[in-house]
Amino acid sequence: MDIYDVLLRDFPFLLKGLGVAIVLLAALLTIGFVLGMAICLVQLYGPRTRLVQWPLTLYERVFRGVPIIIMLFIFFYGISGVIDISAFGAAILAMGLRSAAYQSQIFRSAFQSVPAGQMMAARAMGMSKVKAIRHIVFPQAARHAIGPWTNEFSSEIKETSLAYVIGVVELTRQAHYIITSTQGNVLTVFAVVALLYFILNRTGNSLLYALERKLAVPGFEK
Amino acid sequence: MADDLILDVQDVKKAYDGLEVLKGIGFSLKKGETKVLIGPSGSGKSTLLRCINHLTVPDAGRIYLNGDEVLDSNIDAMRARMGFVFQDFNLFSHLTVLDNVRICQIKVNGTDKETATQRAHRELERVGLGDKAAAYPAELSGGQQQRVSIARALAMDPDVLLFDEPTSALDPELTGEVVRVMQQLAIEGMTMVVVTHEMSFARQAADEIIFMENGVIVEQGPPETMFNDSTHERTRAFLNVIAEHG
Amino acid sequence: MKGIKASLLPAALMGTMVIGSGLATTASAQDPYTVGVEASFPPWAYVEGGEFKGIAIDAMEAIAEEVGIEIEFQDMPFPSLIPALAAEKIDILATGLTVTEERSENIDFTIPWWETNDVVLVPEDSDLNVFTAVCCGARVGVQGGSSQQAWMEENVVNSSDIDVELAKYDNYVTAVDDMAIGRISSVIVDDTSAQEYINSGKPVKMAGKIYIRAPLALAVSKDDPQEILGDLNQGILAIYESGEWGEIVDEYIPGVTVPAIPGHMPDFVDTYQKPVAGLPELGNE
Repeated sequence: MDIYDVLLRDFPFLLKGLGVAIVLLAALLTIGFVLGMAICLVQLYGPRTRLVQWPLTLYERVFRGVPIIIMLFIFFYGISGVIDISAFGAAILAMGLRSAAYQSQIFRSAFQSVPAGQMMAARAMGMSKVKAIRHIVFPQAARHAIGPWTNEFSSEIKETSLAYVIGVVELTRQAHYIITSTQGNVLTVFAVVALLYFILNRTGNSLLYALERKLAVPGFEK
Repeated sequence: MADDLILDVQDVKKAYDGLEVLKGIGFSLKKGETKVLIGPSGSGKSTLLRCINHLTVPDAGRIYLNGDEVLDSNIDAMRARMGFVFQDFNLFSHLTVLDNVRICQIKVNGTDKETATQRAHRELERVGLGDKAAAYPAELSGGQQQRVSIARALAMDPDVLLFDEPTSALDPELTGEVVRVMQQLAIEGMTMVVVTHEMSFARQAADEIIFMENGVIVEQGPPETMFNDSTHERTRAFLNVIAEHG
Repeated sequence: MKGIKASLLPAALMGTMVIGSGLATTASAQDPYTVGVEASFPPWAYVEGGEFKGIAIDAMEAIAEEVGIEIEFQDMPFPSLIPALAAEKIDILATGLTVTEERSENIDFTIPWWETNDVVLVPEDSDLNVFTAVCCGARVGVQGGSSQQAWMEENVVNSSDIDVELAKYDNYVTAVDDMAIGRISSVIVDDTSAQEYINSGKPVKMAGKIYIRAPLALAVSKDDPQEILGDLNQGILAIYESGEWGEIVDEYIPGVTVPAIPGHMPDFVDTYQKPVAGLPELGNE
């Protein structure tokens, strides 16, 4: 069997690896989105007391400052004593919590780029703070956030390939299997893998750009 | 308190870092009255206007709208009954003109979408922008944006409209269209408090002019008296300066 | 044997499971034992066509059947395996694992089931010998965390004047490929793997052997919390004596001489003190 036959035979396993990467990506981005948005909202609109703000700042600094591979090891091995966590669960948590730190900053600067007058006008019309955020500030912040969020999406795709260090069999690991069982062909196999990552990235970016176009409002970017 | 008072402002005080901006101000408004607040910059007139709907929370004093006191606890409901027009319009930039005028009807007053849409179209016609419903704010001139913001306030069916220097951010050639809308509203019997430097509007539309300086009301009275027959030197000096520049 | 096929699915399945089960896996008595393997390490363990294969895989299955336990395989990169075993994320480590003193402080070894010596691999057209390949500023490839790395550091890099630089790789296949394009001048690897590379037609040859007689064994978490060390020891001996072990080895490395079991048991390993778990007549006095 030459390498192309092997690749053809094992392509379903590469796709399965890609599937694992996509599930991991979707889960970590979801955690990151929900938690990141919550952090951002509390940072901007929550109580200004140190008791609330300081832990959030600490969280954000720590998770943005520690390499993901260290986080993976800490979550997989380190918290075993507290909960018995699977490799996949550890990867989702470590990467999701880290993405939350990044996403909170994306959202924060997006919210901050909405002029203060928008909130003021909404409140002056009788909207509660929650309604004003939901109907006026959030839709505008969302438009500011899509661009930087696309970057976060792309960089997290690449990060998923690190999850194999704790035993998550995603795309890169499936590629390793082919490379080692055929004793080589690094270039060919990784070229195919690179192509798969590229397609995933382009697809995601295209969807996000489409969303950006759909939400486009004349003169808004000014 | 008289029964027919729409707005009753009593002894409002506000200080920033120990600096007293409002030193105990009171005035009241009957239904259909238009009162114009004038005074040099820093006199506290915009702060006073913002205190009325708690955009700036007063340190002391009471404000009644149609007999109901404006409090922190009921502020959203009270604001819904007071239209506020900003100097820089503050239209919701991600929404069309139509949505700008109807969103608060729907989200605050709970009006159904169809009724809100009809009302929005009616108010846009009223300010002369019936054909701009589908446009976004950025596609409009400043004068048009300010008229939309007036329509947005009117659509809430407010008891009183508060104008905070509505023409100050406009190029001179665009102030006319906004002033005309405001004059029309005064004629139609809208109850309004207007902070402005537009003396032509004050002269023609105001039932009373209130002259403020250094956080106190120096003098108040009907336009003829204030413009022609003011007893206060400060008032005359201010009006002379305005007249020279206007 | 449900362990084999099911084992490659967990990651994919977990995507859905994990969210439902609160990200946790709970071990209970009837759960299969998790066998950690480095599945990019032929001929001991690798994946071909989506299935685990290799000496360690087949032998582990034979042992499981012999002693009546359920197992499932979990693949991990080699440097993660021992931490995973120490943290009890896996129950058994089955790969070409060399018995060393340092490792025996963190994990417990079964009786040795193989013995390797290291070889120096050089490119096919190289005229380096075992001495010239590992000297004089050469860059020498090893797998990170491997016994070869430890041996080279202890005996060459840190204890002699020989000027070599160790290049550490994620796995040996990458190291051998890097040598082919000239990034490193030689690779130190165990003789079993080396033979495998040569058999598969890689442009490499053995420049010479380093006789270290390193025993290979399975391992369990320190102090054997699952109490399976005795079963494993008995299983290893049983499949050796029945000839099954020899057949498995011969399938993956045709023609190789199978070392006797039990092989040399170094004194520094405490589980090799008499009595050895499951085999009380064995052990160092």
